[in-house]
Amino acid sequence: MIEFQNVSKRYGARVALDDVSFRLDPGEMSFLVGHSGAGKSTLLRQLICLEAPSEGRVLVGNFDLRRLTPEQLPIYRRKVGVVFQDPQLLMDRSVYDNVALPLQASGFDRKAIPHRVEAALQQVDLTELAGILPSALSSGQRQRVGIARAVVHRPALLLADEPTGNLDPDLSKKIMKLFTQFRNHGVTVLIATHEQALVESQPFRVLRLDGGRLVEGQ
Amino acid sequence: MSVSIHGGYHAHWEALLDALWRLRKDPVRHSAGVLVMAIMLALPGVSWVALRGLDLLIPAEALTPGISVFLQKDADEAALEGLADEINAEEGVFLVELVTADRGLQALSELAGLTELAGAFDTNPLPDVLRVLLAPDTEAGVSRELALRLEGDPRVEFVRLDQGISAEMRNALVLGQRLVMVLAVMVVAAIVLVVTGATRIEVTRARAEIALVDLVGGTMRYARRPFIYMGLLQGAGGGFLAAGFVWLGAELVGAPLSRLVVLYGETGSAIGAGWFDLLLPLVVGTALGGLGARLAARTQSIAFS
Ligand SMILES: Nc1ncnc2c1ncn2[C@@H]1O[C@H](COP(=O)(O)OP(=O)(O)O)[C@@H](O)[C@H]1O
Ligand SMILES: [Mg+2]
Repeated sequence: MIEFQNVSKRYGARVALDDVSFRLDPGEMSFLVGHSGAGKSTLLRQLICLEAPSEGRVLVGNFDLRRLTPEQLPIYRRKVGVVFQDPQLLMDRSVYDNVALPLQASGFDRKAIPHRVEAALQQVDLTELAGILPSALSSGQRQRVGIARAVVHRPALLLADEPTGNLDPDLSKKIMKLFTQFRNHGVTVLIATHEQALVESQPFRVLRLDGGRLVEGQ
Repeated sequence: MSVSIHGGYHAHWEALLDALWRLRKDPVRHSAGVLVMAIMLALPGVSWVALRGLDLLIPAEALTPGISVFLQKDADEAALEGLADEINAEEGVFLVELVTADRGLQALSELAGLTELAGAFDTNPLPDVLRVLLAPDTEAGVSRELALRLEGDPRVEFVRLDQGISAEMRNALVLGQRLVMVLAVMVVAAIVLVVTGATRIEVTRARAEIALVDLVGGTMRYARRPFIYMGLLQGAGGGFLAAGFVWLGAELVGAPLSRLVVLYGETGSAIGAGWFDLLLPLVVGTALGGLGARLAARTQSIAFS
């Protein structure tokens, strides 16, 4: 599903990723761990084409990310879901509208949108709050809205950058359970976190970054 | 997954609704923008309509140089005919027309709509007038010399040279029209700047949202569309208001102008705003709004924080 081939990323003289190579199989769930500044977010940015690597190659499914044309980029991104530490909800739009955004933005069949949004909200157990503005939600609920938005278009790959960073341990566990469910539905999941405890409680593969080098999980 | 990049007709309708929703979020700021655009668009519009009215004020025969010869009150008919024939024989004279005092008073009272005017005087206060039209290419020196000579004639009370006034009026009018065109160009530039600025603010405010659209596989076309519609809607609103201003201005300027024009013997029908004068600000406003927004709606994506 995902293949990094000798990927390096430099910002001027600073090396954020240093010759990183690994593969993830389809339907696999893995953690990307490392201290703050180890290069986790940088690695995820390569995967959603927010940046190009300085060297090396990133392959996702049939896509060689270096070769994506501007027309192919949105099509590729529709196969990827992204969850952030701060869910980055649109505060002036309802929970429903926030979750519907990826479908509306990608020209999804208008009549099928309500059903899809409903299903995504059901997965994160928020169906009752569809009409509410995000400002009225707790941080755990907001993160679940962010997750619903990330999966509403049924991506093949789900990326998460510190998805539990703002949540207490109980809520974190719930969120992790959600990711496991998606994995069980065949989604490839990659979760970046610096919370060691979170990783230790889970039986999944670990990719460890240290100073931009992949030191575990090649 | 049924996906189309452009989304067709529906996508445009949704972008339009989205644009309306955004406009409604900050009605005060956006109405101010619309009003500014309307005023800017109306300025050249009203000026143009007014100048067109002034154009009618300049009588057609005044285009060719002429001399009005006001005659002594006690001069008899035969003497007048004689003078007319003499003038007709002068070099450069094209036509000599006798406007008797009676005809003058009658015409004036008809034109002014004061039918009782003629009866208000025991004696006609107007003099007889010889209107002398000169050939269009008559040099100023020649006509001035003729006027001076006529002024010396005992049968003549005084002489008015028409050439200078109409030529100057026409020059002023041409200058005015050029100024309006310069104004129009400046207005076009200013509106594009206003819309561009407003759109940039709007896009900057929505940066996170646009980045999100980018991230979830929305096209930049999709992300930009609501902002372009915002520009179009504001431009159309400004243009519509401007059309109203032009109509109002034409009514205000047109009514007194019409009266003047009638006094000068013209029909006065062309004064006021026609449908073209009203359509133009609407079309121009909409086009400029769309153009300005399109220029400004450039976006980039954010990175992970
Ligand atoms: N846009 C950037 N410009 C310069 N340096 C950057 C940029 N993004 C990240 N870095 C640097 O790259 C390194 C890795 O950062 P990051 O991927 O955010 O780490 P992590 O997510 O593991 O905390 C850090 O040293 C960071 O300062
Ligand atoms: Mg990070």
